[in-house]
Amino acid sequence: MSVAEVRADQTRLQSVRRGRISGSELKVAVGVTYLAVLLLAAFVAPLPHSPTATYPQAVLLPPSTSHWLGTDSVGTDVFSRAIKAAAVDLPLALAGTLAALLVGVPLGVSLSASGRWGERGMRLVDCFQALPLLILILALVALSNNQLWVIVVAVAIYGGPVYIRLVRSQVLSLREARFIEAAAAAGASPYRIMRRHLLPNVRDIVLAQTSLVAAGALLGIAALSFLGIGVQPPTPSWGSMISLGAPALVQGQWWPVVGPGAAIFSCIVAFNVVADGLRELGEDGAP
Amino acid sequence: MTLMGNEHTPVRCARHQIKTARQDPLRPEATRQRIPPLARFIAMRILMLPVSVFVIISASFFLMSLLPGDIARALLGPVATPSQVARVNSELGLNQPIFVRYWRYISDVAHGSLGSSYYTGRAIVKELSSRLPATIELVVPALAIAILLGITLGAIGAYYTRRRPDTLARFGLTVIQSVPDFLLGLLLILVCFSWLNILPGPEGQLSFADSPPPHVTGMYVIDALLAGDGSTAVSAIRHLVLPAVTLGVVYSATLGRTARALLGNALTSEYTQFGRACGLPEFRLVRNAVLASRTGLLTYTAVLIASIIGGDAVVEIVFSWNGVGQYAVQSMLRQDLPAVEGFVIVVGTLTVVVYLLLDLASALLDPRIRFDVSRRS
Repeated sequence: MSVAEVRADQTRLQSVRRGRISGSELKVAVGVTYLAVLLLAAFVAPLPHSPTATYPQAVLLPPSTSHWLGTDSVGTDVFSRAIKAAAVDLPLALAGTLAALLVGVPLGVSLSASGRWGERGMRLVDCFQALPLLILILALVALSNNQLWVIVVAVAIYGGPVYIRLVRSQVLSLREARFIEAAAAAGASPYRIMRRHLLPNVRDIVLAQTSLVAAGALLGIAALSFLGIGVQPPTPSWGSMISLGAPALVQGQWWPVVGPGAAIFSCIVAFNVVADGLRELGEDGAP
Repeated sequence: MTLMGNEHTPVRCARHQIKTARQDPLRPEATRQRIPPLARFIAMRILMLPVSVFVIISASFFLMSLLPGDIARALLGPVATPSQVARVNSELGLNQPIFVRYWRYISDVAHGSLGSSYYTGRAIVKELSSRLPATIELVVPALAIAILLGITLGAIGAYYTRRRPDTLARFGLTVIQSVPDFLLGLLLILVCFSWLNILPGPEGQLSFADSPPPHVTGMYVIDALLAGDGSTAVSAIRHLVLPAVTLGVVYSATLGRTARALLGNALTSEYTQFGRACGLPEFRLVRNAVLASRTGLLTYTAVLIASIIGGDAVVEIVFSWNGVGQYAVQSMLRQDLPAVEGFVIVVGTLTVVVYLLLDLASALLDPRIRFDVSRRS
């Protein structure tokens, strides 16, 4: 540990003692709060207009005091719809990420076992990732008549290999560590070593990765519904709102695209900021 | 773990070590002494290529065939009678057992055919090869932008660690990483076409008024230049700017983060400090750092190429770009499975070839890998 790192540690300890919040903790707090507030607003907040009603007489109105982000080409209020879309897109992304986590972490741990099977498993993951996943996921969702649980499966297909690689590489490097050796020498069973010594040390980095996978899942879900696959109108979803607004945008009417675009963008920024903060916290806390 | 944002991390060195370590060093075969180790390594990797391609073809076939959904019904529409559905199924050979279809598909591929489209009846190979040049024309400049922008942002961040330019570069990378590709494309159309009107809108590779140049390579910019048609070439380049920038900027994020981590390690190393103590100019220190981390940069460039080939479909859709990505998505939407299978095979094969070239290039570029090969085999 270099002098600079020791100093950084000391200042961090001091700020903890004084009850101050470090920059990394602030990042995590701000990101999580933003996402939670948006999710809550999507379910309970009183919206200025109906998010699904169409008004043929109020088509493509520019932003005004009545319609904060204008109306789209079928006359729906863009602001209300963009908020309501969080109630579909965010839970889907989070559920998919959870599924990827539940599939990927155990597989990653088991593939880190020494021997040929670990290597062979990784070659399979290699081949799997050589396939164009976007098109495969498209096929999967489109051919299942756009059922939402299939989107969760699709996100797991995309995120699972990410966890497998991460957990495997972490466990492989941790396995050589002194404290694992000590635990084994003290007679701990492999299960106990895994639960008490390996997994807690992998936790921080897996958490940070989870936030990144959630961001990727949100992007993917938006891309799917932009292509007309997945969440179907009239259910609000950011991707389909953008695809509906695209023809108007080419004419210079920006609001039907910019509203949902800003919503997706801010959510992904929030996920990325949380991931950054979690990673920094993990690095600070590392021995 | 600074590289954790990246999805594919080829662990080729580890694999290769294990593979070669298994050979018995006490029984050198006669051939091993005649063929130089590096050539052996290269030959082995090239011989493995058909195996990977076979795995990709099989995976593509089974994934597509085992998907839920009734193809014949989807093709005929909801009012089709059961006898019509049965007829279409037998015409397409869909009523046969899956292994019969698999065998037929494999032998077709071996004869250079990827089947024909359920929708137009044209051969998939023709459909794809007529669109591939457009995709290449889009992907190559996009790659150049992604590599330049990514490495520049990464180098700025690494050189000015925790100072103002680093903060700016990191902010830029976060923004790039967070914007969906289709959204960036649409915003660029809004600014450059709808507001400023300096570039053409999303109308494909050429305006409706332009006539396509005589077919040589299929890439309009090059064909127009070959034909000496200046105005068409300019129009083709102007149509190329927005999609290429969109794709390049979006895909520079991963490379930028990686480059920052790699160059950061190189610039804080002892040899950089030594170089600085010797009075080397700063640009040479940065150049040395880039050279020292070239294998890592190359690896992530290969990953970038692979993901950009498979991932440009959405950008093609936004800009009505008549490439293979747009074709794959459109085929998917009308349940044209042979077309999707063909696309998956072509892109999967390209990806494997890119990784092979990566292995070869890093063996040539990195003495450590080269030495490792010769010492172990």
